[in-house]
Amino acid sequence: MTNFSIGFVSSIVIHTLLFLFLTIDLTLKSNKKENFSSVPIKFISLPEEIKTITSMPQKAIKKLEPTVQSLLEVNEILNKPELDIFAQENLNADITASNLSKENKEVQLRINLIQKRINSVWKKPPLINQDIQVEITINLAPSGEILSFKLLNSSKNKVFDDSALAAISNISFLPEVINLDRRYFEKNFRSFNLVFKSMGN
Amino acid sequence: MRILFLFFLILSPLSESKLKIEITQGSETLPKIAIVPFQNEILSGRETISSLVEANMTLFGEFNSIKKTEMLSYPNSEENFFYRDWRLLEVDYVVIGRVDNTDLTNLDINYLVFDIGLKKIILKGDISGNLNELEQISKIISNRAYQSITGLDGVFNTKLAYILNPNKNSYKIYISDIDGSNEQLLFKSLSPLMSPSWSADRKKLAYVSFERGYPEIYIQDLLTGNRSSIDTLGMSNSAPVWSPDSKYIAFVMSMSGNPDIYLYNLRNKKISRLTRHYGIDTEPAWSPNSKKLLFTSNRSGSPQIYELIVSTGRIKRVTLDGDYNARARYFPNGKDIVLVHGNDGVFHIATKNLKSRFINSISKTSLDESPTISPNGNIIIYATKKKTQGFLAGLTLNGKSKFTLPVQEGSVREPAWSPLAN
Amino acid sequence: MKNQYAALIFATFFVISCTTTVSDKVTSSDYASAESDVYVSAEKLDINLSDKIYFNFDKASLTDSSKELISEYIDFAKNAKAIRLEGHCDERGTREYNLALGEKRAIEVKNYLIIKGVSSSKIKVISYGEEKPIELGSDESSWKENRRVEISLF
Repeated sequence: MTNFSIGFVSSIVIHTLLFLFLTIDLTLKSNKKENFSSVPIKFISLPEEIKTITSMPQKAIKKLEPTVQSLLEVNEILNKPELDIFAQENLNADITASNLSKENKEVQLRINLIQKRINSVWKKPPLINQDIQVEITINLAPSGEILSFKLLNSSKNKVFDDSALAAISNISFLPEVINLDRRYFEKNFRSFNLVFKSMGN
Repeated sequence: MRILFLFFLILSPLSESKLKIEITQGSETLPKIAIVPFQNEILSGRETISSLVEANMTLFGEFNSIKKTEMLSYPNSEENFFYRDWRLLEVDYVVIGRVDNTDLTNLDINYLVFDIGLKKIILKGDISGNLNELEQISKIISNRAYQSITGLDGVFNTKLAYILNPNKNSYKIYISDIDGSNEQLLFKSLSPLMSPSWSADRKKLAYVSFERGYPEIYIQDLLTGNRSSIDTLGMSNSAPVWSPDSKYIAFVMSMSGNPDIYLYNLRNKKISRLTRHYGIDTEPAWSPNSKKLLFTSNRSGSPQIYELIVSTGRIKRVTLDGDYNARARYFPNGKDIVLVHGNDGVFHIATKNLKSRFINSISKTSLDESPTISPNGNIIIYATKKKTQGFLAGLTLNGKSKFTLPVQEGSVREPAWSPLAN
Repeated sequence: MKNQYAALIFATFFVISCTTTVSDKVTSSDYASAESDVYVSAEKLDINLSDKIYFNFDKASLTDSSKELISEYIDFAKNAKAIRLEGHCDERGTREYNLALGEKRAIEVKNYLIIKGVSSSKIKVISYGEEKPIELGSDESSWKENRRVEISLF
């Protein structure tokens, strides 16, 4: 009898622990996910300000500083290498340029981030001083999932083509587009082309 | 480069055409490769084939390998290979294999190379050989695997010739495997030895020896050890280089203190003169098609690189910038060259495209010389110096890897990379 | 544009697996080494003069002070049976170019001796380039010792 009750109690304890363990693990995971996507939202609310600023460019630059800041944060959270000086200047220029539309700005940001992500996984083969490129079409879901991809224009170099295809199949997911306005997504990222280039050494 | 890359961002959301994103840089990390222990390989001696292949593939720092203890499985055929196991380890390429002993000494080896990113087999190979040829077998497997992955020729069974100066008044020419193993002494002398150059068939080596009190060019047969000097009129012959078509040796002869470039016809032993200038003309180097020569000349006042068309004798200056550009060699593409580039007394290995003006220094130490290019054009080995010790260093052209070759007693210099075996 | 669509349609991925198949056999060989060395030596005259003329980097021209130094040799040189001029360089720069430069240096000394009346037929010139340095260090004090022409009278 006591044996049974000890077994019963201990099994309850074990199951509770197991349950807790699993749910905590799950909540941790989902937390991560939320963090992951919440930051871009912060950024997206900002371009509204840019519009009003266009008439007063001097102030605009001041107000824009936090924008660039948060953009850098996005990068950190997306676990990307820090933007280099050129990239920072470039982004600054992009955002302050008054003739750029809100859509342009948002799309440009996604392009920068997607470039960084794909560069980080692409194992470029050693090609000796060859100027070649391969173009690949990507079909994306609004969730960032890569639905399919296809070789559009081959570089005529099998190893080079393969390295690009391998890079994309290693990713399978481009979270950069998750919080993009749906209209912008459909127009730009639903189906787009990646051009992998080698410009000699 | 980086600015360029950013300028390449193309943004066209307003037009009907599709968005294009350009990717030019690629990852900074090296591709990861796993060489799985071959089935039955433990039977085949002290060193295993897989460990030899792994040592080859990582020799020039072109790949990172993962340890056997980190592998999740040891597949030996397509049937028990699971891409998932390797994707988890972020491995890019996997080599597996199986050894079948047809009898006690003969080995039959089957091997496969997998591309994990693409989820496909990129090479199926088999090789047979003797138990005591394990090193050679591993080199061929490595060459095949390297070729299937990079599209470039594997250079693991190439050789290196070099000069060793163990102490004053002792000079030796050695040949070793490209990984530094299997060193073999070709010739030793009390007087300086210089400028080793391979014949295209790898059967002969030309070099300069001072053994008779003045610099002469010798040709040594590598299999028999027979050697003889080239008969010229001059008392100062140097810088021999074998033409890729094996018809000529270009060399430098100095008649009454005026070094010029000459050709030695290997068939009829006739000598013809190619340059005629009172300044220094030296360090000839053949283009891959045997039609042009690079050489160093100080005709402008400082050493600079010139290019000469052998059939017409036309000469064109190649380097314009810097106060010391010398000892150039063509890359296998015939369009780019490697050279020694000196500025303010600092000498680096540099590359240059024949059509562009820009000279790109690729080595960091200050007394770098004698660059030699791997037959696949991807690796450069050169001589450098630390304190009084001369040693050999190397790098890959993408700049991702730098290495030094094992240090020997005394100074090592003038590395000469052999052509590929036929 | 049409071409692009055509390419898209015909583009293949994961469909054709272009696996290469290869087959090899192994052969191995060994190299032979050779050895032969003739060492030439002769009786050198002992003169109480510095036997080294120094040069600037990548230069073969004589400085005024080295011309003075050579001048002190003239009488001995005229009486000697043979004169050997050995040109050397410092380690900077490339070896084969330095071999030529060392020769240019020795020739420069030879020409000066001829101007001063020494018979050209008894002067022998040889260059060792940077192959026989006196000092092994990589600094100016070592380099300047190595950029030299050595004069030997026999």
